[in-house]
Amino acid sequence: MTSQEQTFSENQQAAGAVTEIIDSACQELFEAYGLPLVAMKGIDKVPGTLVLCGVMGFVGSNVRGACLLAGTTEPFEASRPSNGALRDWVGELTNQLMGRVKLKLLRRGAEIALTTPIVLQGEHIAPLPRARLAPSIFSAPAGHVLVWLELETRQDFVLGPESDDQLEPSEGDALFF
Amino acid sequence: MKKVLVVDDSETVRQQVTQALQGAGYPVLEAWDGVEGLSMATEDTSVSMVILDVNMPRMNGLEMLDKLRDARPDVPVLVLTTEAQPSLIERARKAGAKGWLVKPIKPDLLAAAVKRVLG
Repeated sequence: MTSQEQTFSENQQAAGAVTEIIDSACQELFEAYGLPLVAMKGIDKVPGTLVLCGVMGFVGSNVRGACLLAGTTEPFEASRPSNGALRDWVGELTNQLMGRVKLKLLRRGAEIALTTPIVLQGEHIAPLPRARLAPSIFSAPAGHVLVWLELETRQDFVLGPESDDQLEPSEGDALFF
Repeated sequence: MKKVLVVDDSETVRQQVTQALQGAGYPVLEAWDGVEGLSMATEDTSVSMVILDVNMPRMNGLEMLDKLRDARPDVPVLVLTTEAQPSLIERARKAGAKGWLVKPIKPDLLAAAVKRVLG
């Protein structure tokens, strides 16, 4: 079986590494908009009602999956830099979150392409994954943010170490030609 | 002051860019995708610069950049995006973009970047 013929399957080790990447990207993103998030360990539910979420899929030659960013209204409103529609901001935050993840994965040897974000509104939003999937939970000064990751990889895929020679600009950087 | 056109499918980002540039004294126009942006940049000859997202519906930013180079080769372009893939940056550079900014960008840095390009 060639590498192109190998199927994707769940990979706990890679999922753990990518979850760490998404968690740090989520905290960095909200911090960039002036909202510190604190990781909450040992719980899988939050008080309050999750009302908004953004979903983005991703696919690369070795990994594929989806990320769901959800929260109570407060963190999305508090991080919003202008008075645009909250629906628009949730989509943009999801896009920027996955942009950060894409860059971090690229620096570790995994290139992915992203879908466009989908924004959902409802109450008690949660994914129905094939296996039990616990979200990463963060508390904001008011309200909560949750992130779910569903990931599959090619068999034996291992995420590489972070590259020392980072040629790509980082978030907030300006590169002139 | 020279007029800047911001092209992004996110209303929030457009408003953020508009506030930053208007605060620095630049008149700003907004378009929500590459089709609308190309039309506005082509028809309104008072547009002196374009700030362009990459991933947008109908026509993405790099396609718009290519078409804008044919229609208005005099108009400088800054790309403002979540993307930082070297291949995309190189494609924009070869297509004549003046710079690549990775979101989120601080308002003062954005205004300084526009000033640097417009002179």
